[in-house]
Amino acid sequence: MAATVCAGVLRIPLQVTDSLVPMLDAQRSSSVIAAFGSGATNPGYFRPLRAAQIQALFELSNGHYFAAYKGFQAAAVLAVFVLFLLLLEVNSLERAAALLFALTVLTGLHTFRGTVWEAYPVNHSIEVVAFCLLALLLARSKPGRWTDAAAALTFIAAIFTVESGLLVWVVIVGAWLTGARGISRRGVAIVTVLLAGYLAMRFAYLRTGVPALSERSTGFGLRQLDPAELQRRFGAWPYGFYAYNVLSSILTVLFSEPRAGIWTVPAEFMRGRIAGGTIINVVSSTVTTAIIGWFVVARWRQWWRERSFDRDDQLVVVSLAVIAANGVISYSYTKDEIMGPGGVFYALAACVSVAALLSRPVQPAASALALILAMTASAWVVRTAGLHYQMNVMTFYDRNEWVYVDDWLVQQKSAPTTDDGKALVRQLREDALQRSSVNPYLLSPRLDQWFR
Amino acid sequence: MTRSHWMLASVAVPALGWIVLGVIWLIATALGVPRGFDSRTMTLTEASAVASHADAAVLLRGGADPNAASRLRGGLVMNSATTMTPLEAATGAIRSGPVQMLLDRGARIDEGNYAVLWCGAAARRNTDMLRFLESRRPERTPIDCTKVRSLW
Repeated sequence: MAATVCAGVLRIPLQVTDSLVPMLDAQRSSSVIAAFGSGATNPGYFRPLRAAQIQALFELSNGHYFAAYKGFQAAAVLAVFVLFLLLLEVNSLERAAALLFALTVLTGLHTFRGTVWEAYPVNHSIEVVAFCLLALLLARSKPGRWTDAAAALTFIAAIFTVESGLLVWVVIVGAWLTGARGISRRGVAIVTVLLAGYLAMRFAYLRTGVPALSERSTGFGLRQLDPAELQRRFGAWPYGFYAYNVLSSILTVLFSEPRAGIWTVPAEFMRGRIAGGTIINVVSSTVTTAIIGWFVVARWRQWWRERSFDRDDQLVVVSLAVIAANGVISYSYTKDEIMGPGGVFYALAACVSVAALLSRPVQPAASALALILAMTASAWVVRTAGLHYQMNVMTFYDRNEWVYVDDWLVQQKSAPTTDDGKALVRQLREDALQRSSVNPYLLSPRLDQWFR
Repeated sequence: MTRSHWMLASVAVPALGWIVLGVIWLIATALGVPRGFDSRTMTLTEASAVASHADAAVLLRGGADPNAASRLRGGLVMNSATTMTPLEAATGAIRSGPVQMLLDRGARIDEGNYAVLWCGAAARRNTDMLRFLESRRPERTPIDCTKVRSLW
């Protein structure tokens, strides 16, 4: 599965939007340290390590930009799969079956798509997922000074890469509260002090601030609102809008609705037809969430009364904490890919819950349950196929964008003025155009309806 | 098989099937199969029909004639395979094709093909193309589509 996802990632060209301007910046920047400094002082965002990574890969690529950036991205995808497998500790047939199910949840959930496919040109979304999984693995490993140090380094790397790196702290604290002692009390304290230092540096010293309402469009209700309308409707009192974003972000992981803040089922119903893919998404997510819910209810009494958590309980509780926290940090706008870490942890929780369900003694209604599970597992396979279809569509559109890259650069007021800059754009355009793609319009036009 | 085995199979078999398919797909991709969906097999007419601006740019740069009729496989504009010019295909395909690129590379819209394109776009309700054609109308005479060669 990891190989097919990586193959899909490697087919997509480095995109014009989000990738080209950072690469042109890297070409102009004098060093990795200068890029780090620049990434620390952007208004609204504090992402110094992201800028440094882009710079380092640009310099190390020796002109093979696609290989450098996409190779790094594929390595991050592989790391996520490996960490996911290590965390699930497969030691029984039930566990193995649940793992197969969970892998389709991991790759089929719509939040994974946005997490995995884009290059900016370094994909920080997938990096944060890897950092969160690594933190949980450390928390569940043997304790020691090196484990604490690794946890602190993981946290620093995550928060210096992108804001959602804060989730690493949630993972570490959540794991500690549920009895995982791989990271000691001192280690948790160090990471918490680092968190306080990060917040103080960002808001008090650098005054980086937070993204403004007027920065981007986002979904609300049944449609997309542009920045001007967001400002007009919520500018005076944005907190209700923020609450909507938090709730939407959590619900999209649990029920695949809404999508990027837009409620697709009623929106499609009002247009006259709910797509088959939308039904598959909502039903498969709802059944899987119900199984996780069953696990939580079954274990709740023990958690509450005895404060006792086994290793499976830890995974589920930490996963739910990550989903909730991921929703909270998405307060300013909601996008499917921002919930990438929440989606991956949802797959972890699904694995544990399904394994617990399979381990129960056979019940009278086992046949009906087997049928429901088979249908749900099949639906997740369809969604996984959808990931590959959508990555293919992305390849097609990204490649087309390169045809008009010069016009786009002029619109963005980012057209390179140096010969080196122009040569870089030319090289990347040639690289994109020479790649072949499977044209989505040569496939059945009905696929769009099933792969949402 | 016992009922517990059925439970395990119900969860695992769909994913296992997908993994097998994935392996087959990776091998097929490595071998370059199937090429039928691959952009490298397209003519300029087909690239225009499916709005593949990138493939149209590559083909034009390779010397493809923007006014020449060429193969258009079935299912893109019409159910069966046929022959069309790139502009006719772009008109009939609803999607916003690389019309401006074709014109920049020498495709002609003149009295000989204007009415055919206009009627084709009208029949397809291709509003982008209709707007574009209106801006390039050679003369302000009404067009009678019943007397114009139909694209399909």
